[in-house]
Amino acid sequence: MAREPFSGHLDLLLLAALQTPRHGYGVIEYVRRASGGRFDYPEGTVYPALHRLEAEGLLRSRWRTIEGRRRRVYELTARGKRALAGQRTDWERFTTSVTAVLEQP
Amino acid sequence: VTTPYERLLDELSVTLRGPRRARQRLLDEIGEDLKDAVQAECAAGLGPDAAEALVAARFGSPTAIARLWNRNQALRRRAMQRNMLVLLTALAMAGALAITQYASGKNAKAVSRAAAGTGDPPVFIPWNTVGDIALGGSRARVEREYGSVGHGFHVLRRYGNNVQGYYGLHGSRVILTFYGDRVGELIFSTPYYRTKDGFGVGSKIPLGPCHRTATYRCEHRWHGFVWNEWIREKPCNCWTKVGLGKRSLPLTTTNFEKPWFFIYMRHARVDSFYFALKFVD
Repeated sequence: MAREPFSGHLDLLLLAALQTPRHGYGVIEYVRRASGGRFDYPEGTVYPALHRLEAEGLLRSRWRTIEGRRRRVYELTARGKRALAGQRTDWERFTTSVTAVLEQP
Repeated sequence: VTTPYERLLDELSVTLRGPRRARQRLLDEIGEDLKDAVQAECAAGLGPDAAEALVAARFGSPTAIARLWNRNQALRRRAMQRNMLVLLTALAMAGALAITQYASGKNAKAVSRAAAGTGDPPVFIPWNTVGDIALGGSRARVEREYGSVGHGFHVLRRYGNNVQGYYGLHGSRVILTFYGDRVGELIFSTPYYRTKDGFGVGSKIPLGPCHRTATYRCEHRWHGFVWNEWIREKPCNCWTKVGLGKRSLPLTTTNFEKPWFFIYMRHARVDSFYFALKFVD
């Protein structure tokens, strides 16, 4: 389990957002929309994180022409998919544990 | 007049560190995505200037973004340096190991070659030296080059201070008898050893003319050797020479302490050689 689950979940959210290939702005929009506006990261913080995840081999990217414009599109690698599954499991265990403690009388 | 959007990219471009190509890619990527963001705000009802200002503000501080980026680049560079160090260390270790293995392999080859005899020269000096083994030569020297008992020298028998055994050399056995610390007997049947004229196992020795003697009507001679002496009550089918003179001494017990040389023949060709410091029956 991550030592800082609340502050360290950006990677999990980015990996989850990229289960469908997206460009950087698309990732930001997806996370903002899917979280009901709760996770509204400064856009600038997302790009370094995407580049880092790519350098770690969890993502791959390439330029694509979308509606006449070049966009850098990211997608999960096989390693990224395994990492997402692992982080998801950790997160579910964490929330289950926290919920269990909260529900104690 | 620069817009907030352009100022953001300019500021970012001067604060980013790392490879130029990676920096340019990030700036291109952000530039395109920011256009999307501005268009989205315009579509939501903002004017272009207000949309750009809003997007630039939402993007965050270029300095903070650059710090994050630069930290990642530094971590990546350090990881690459660490990997390079590990790689270089591994290569150095592999190199050292290879050198050690090469050296030990070379050494093993040398030992093996010595044991196999491929290290000894294909030299035959009548009637004294075969390879690097000389009749009457030092046993220690032979053992150093060809191997000692249990290390290439296979013992056949021991009698008194003598040890007879063989080296497996050139697909055959080179048999030696050490008389104490000297090479006392030498027997070989490999064609590997030749004189500088090419004489050796497999060579023909002509019988030549008859020489009438008190003992024989027809005695054939060749370089001091005598053909087909009787040994142990029968003709030996060999050339024999006793002593180091030009002609062979008689094969009698009085000459047993002299050097004896035998050239065994088979189908008129040399089959093997036997040299001894003295005759041992």
